[in-house]
Amino acid sequence: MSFGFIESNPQVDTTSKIKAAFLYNFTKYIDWPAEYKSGNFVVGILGNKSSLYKALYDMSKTKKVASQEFEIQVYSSPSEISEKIHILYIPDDASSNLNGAVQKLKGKSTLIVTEAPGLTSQGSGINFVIVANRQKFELNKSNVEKHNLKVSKSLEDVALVVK
Amino acid sequence: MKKLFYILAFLLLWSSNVVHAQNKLSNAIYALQNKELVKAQELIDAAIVDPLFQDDSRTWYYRGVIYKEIYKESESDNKLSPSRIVAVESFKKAYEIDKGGEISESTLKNLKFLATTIYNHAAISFNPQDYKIAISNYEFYKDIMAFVEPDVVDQERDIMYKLTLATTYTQMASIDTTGSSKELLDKVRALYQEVLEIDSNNISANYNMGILYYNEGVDIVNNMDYSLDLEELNNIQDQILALFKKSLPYMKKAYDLDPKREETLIGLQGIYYSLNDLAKSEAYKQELEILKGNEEGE
Repeated sequence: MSFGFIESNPQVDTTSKIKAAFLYNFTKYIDWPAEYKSGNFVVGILGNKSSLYKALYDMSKTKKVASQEFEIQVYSSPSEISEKIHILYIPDDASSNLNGAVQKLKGKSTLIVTEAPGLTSQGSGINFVIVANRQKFELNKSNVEKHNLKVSKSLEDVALVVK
Repeated sequence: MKKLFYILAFLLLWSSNVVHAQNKLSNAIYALQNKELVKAQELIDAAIVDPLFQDDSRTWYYRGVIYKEIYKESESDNKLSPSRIVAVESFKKAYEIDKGGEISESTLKNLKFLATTIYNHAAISFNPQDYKIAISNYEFYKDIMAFVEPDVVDQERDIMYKLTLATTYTQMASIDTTGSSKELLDKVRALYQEVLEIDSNNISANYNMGILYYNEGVDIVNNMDYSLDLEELNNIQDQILALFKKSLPYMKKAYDLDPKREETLIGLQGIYYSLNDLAKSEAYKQELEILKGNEEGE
């Protein structure tokens, strides 16, 4: 008879929860206009139902923005984006839809968050970047303010690049 | 005349004691041969405390045989059989007295047999309920084997033992509700470290050490509250990245030792993903898919 042993198996997504926590933080440092402070707080994901969806969905069960409950939506194209949406997240593999999303959200108070190099120059308000293996973010204040959103100075202080 | 009487009386008393004691041993052997184990046990226990025969290797040898038979007869399911312990002690004593005499070879064979039963009882005790029995039996087994084969070091068996004990502690940590999981995982880490000190090329120890650090980082994220402020979030990132970086060399070593092992490819994919190195994560993912494709094609 011999001893038997089993081995553990790694199948966990840690980065999505970190991103979700960042997104939750953005709701504390950005001020939406009064008409966006009632109803659900809508976070939309453009593209496939990614692992971020699960992290955001988990977050939505326990967290609120003031008295607003989170609602997580997924869109397969810019044309599907809701009329009243607080944050639009565009994953790396859907970056080609940024221009369409910017057009669709003109005049709306939506924070556009992306995660590919250079997108703050193309209309994104906040762009996730990786620096020394860490999740950081760039802020394009004027892109955010174009959507009638106010950015807290505290957010500028921790952003990697501010334009 | 009176002096002669005393001498004769002394000799008579001495010889009757010797015969009586000799009878105890002979009768014990006779009872053993007749499968009268209770009687054999009583007789041999009486013989063993007789000063005339305490130093006779045969007395200890037959005590070992009788207790071994009692173990086989009625205690073979008892992982901590008391008769087996007595048998081992008796055989050891017999061997020490015999000093390479005629019963030494048979004594060592008996000790080996008992060691095997103890080892088997250790092997079936690796679970959260019985792990202490597994530990004590394995130590007992090692102690006997060191006596039987003092020049043999069975590192392979030691490694298997440590890996199995580490798995048991990991299982215990995963179901722990008493707040002892950290302590258990520290033991797991120490066991893998011990294995790597014996054999730095052990794939399982390398892989599991990698997983251990990786899981520690994952646990921090899993227990993280979404409402941490940005500074705290950066601190958490520093903590988990340090753990993922610690896990990486172990997982890479496991990969170097066997590049076609699926678990390791999944591990590297996961670690690099958590390190936000998506290109490398994707490369290992591709490698895994090619490997799986090849397996299906075979």
